[in-house]
Amino acid sequence: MGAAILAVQRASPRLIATVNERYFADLQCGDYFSQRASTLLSLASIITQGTSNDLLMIETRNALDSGLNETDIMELLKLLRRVAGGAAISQAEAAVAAALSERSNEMSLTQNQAAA
Amino acid sequence: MNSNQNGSNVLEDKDRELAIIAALVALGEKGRKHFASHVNAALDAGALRQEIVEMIGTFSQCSGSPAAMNGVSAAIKVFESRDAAGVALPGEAVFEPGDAPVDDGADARFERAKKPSSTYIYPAGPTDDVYTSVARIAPHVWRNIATFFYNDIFLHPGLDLRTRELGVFANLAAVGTVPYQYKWHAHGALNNGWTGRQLGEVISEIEPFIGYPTAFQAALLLQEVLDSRNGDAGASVPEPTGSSPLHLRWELRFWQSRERRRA
Repeated sequence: MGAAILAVQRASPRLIATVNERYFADLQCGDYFSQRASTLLSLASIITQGTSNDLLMIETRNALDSGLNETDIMELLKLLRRVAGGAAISQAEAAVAAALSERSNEMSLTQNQAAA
Repeated sequence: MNSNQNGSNVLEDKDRELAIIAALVALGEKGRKHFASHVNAALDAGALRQEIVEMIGTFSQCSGSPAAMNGVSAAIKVFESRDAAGVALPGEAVFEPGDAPVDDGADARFERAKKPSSTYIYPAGPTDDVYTSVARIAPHVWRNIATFFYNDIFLHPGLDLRTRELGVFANLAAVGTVPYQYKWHAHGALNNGWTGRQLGEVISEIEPFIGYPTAFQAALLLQEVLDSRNGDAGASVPEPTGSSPLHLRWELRFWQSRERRRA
């Protein structure tokens, strides 16, 4: 997933720069919503827009790293089905499953390395 | 806003505004509130009314004919308001008359349509499954699409191929759900004089309107295209056509046979 961000940065450096500045400063680090609410809002908007599986995978990983669990994300998908439409949710489910699988594999690898 | 004010000088103001218009057309009524100001900005930066109308008309085969129809209608309202307010620039309403070559039969139109798609837009051919399967299983679908898009629309006077490809690139980026066509026309834009850096800048410019996820994906796909072109060392990349209008490059005889007047 880091590769995806690097690729976007290479293609459109100003896109990443401006979004980091605006999006993360205004939304992620804002103090009105909790971190959990901000993360859920981010995920909900990306899922509803339904145009970037790659970004959804990245944000799902970020959400899990920041304390959300798999159930939180599955419940969000369930809630959004009527708003975003079944097509967007089916696509999002695939991206979320891929992110979960990737994270699980990484955790297993880390545990195995620690055990060794 | 000029190039330097927003921190970028890789795009001319006119091209930037045309790209934003292209993205807003794809958004339909959702983008309407921003539309007039960018049509005005494009005209103030030197775009002709005909270029704007011609570009939006091209999108009938991209983001769809309803969005294109509504876009042209909205642009005309802006033109009328400029006339009423007396702020139109001299020459912005100059109109190049004529039509695409459409009178010599379906076969001739299709043959002509193959040229831009195979020579100037994707010279190696769109070789992914989408194109090959359609061309193999339903050739009439490809024939109909290609004939209308690459003959009737692309050869219509009033907009050069380079700008048309920029518009198609921005329009499909805003659509966000047609990656194959978007990548084909990323090649098309690169083959017609735009640089990867400029196309990346287009994505940055339209991001506030289309949203970050859509822009993110567009940038990701653009980089795939750029990587693929570096990979083949330019073997399938033709000479850029620069700003030369397509019809001046290869339909010269057709266009020379017509009286071209500027009103």
